[in-house]
Amino acid sequence: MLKILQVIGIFDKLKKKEESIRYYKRILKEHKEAEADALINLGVLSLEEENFDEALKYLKQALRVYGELEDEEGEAFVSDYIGDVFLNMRRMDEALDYYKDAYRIYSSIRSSAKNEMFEKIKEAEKIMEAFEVAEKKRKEEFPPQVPVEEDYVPDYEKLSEKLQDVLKILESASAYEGYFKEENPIEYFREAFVISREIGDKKGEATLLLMMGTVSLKNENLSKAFKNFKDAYDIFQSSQDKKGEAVSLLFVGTLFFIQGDMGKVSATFRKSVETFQQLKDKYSESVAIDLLNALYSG
Amino acid sequence: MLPVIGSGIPGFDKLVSNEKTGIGGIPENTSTLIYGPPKTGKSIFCYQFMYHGLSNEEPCLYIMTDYGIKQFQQKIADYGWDLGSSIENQMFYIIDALSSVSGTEVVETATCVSSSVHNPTDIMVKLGVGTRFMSGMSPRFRSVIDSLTTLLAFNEDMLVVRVLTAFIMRIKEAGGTAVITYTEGSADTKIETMLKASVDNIIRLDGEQLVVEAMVGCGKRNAPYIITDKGIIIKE
Repeated sequence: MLKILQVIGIFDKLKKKEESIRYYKRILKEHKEAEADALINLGVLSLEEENFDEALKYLKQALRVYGELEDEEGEAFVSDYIGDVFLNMRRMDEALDYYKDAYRIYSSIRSSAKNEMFEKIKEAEKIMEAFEVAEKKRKEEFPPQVPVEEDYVPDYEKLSEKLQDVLKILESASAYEGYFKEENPIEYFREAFVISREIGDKKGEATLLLMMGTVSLKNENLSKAFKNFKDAYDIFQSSQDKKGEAVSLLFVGTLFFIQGDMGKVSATFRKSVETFQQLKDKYSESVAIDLLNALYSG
Repeated sequence: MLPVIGSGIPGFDKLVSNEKTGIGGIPENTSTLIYGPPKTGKSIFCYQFMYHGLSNEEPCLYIMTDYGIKQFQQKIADYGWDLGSSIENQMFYIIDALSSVSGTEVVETATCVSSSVHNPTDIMVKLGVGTRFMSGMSPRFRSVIDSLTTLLAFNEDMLVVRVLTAFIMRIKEAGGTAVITYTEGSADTKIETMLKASVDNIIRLDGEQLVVEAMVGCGKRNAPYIITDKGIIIKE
């Protein structure tokens, strides 16, 4: 039987088929490798353009192609790049996941690239730690809403009047004091606010935000008041107006008090008083302490 | 033909008159910068511009930053002019931006308000109220800022440039004609150039010569002038 098959040349045919299959598989592999290369290049170019979503799209496709090729080194290589994209996006957890995948693969295939990957992970962890510290600090200064103390019922009218007294620390506020007496003060403040923005009067802009926030507080709109006070703080800070910064912290601190977050009250008032001390502004310092006493004495 | 309004300065309108028509004055609905060294008559130019308008039933919105209302009234009285009826008829709107700084109390009325050179936003808020008042009274009115120099002393230079731009825009929109003074050398040359670029007409006073450096519908002109007890007079 074997002899007959040899005679009719069936083995030759089979041999040719196997070769053909090997040939086409090789071609397919080469095409897939070329596809992966092209996808990586597109991903890197998108990363350079800071088009992160696009970069992720291409690199994840490349990762899938290497998976199909069972090319572990390629997978590690692409995972490293994906980690870089997430690092640029400040999505540290995901960046670290991909770096660790790359490290695991490099270790399993005993690639020398594993040492480099290890260093990269350490570096990313340091960056992540720095971000966490910065975020914690930011939250300490301006934390999100916290629950109101059960037994504290704020007298918004009285608090608003007290803050109007605090505003007198700012020279720029005196011109607008009269607006508080108007039937709809917010309209007046808003008109002045628009003008201050138009002419780039940063001090005026921030002062008017504090005033608008004070009206919002009186109307028990705490989230609006908080936003106004925080925006005022940011403007004073960016214009390096230390006194304005310290004054706006008193407003922010008052809101923390209403929200019952005593830790933040202490932090903001302390920072404000320290700034007044640095400025050798005894009067403003006494106003800050007076406000704090008024808050605690109800 | 370009509409013009009388400057109130004897000889000035003729100096800038159209050669064909012989009509001259400050082009209506434009802004004019009067600049030069100190004590050369810039404020006096403004007084005459303001007083001439009031005498012709044209209301005036006056922003004073170099002196308060009391000092201003004294200066006007020195020239023998009487603003009593214009104030009574609410033809004269004053924004006093200096008295509050010097500690002098301003008795506020419907047409006399206090502001502060420290607070350009407030000046602009009051300017908004003032221009609405003026345009409600007359489709044509005059306005003066005397001077930018004090604003520059109390505020960031670029802020003053933006205030000037906003001032001119508001006055023109309301149909007014503006005159602004500035003491030469009180800001750096870059800012000075920006101030000049913000206005339509530029006049320089040096104590002897009045030079029209730029004016809508009129080439460069110049003439000697003197300051008398009746104000500035352009010599023939």
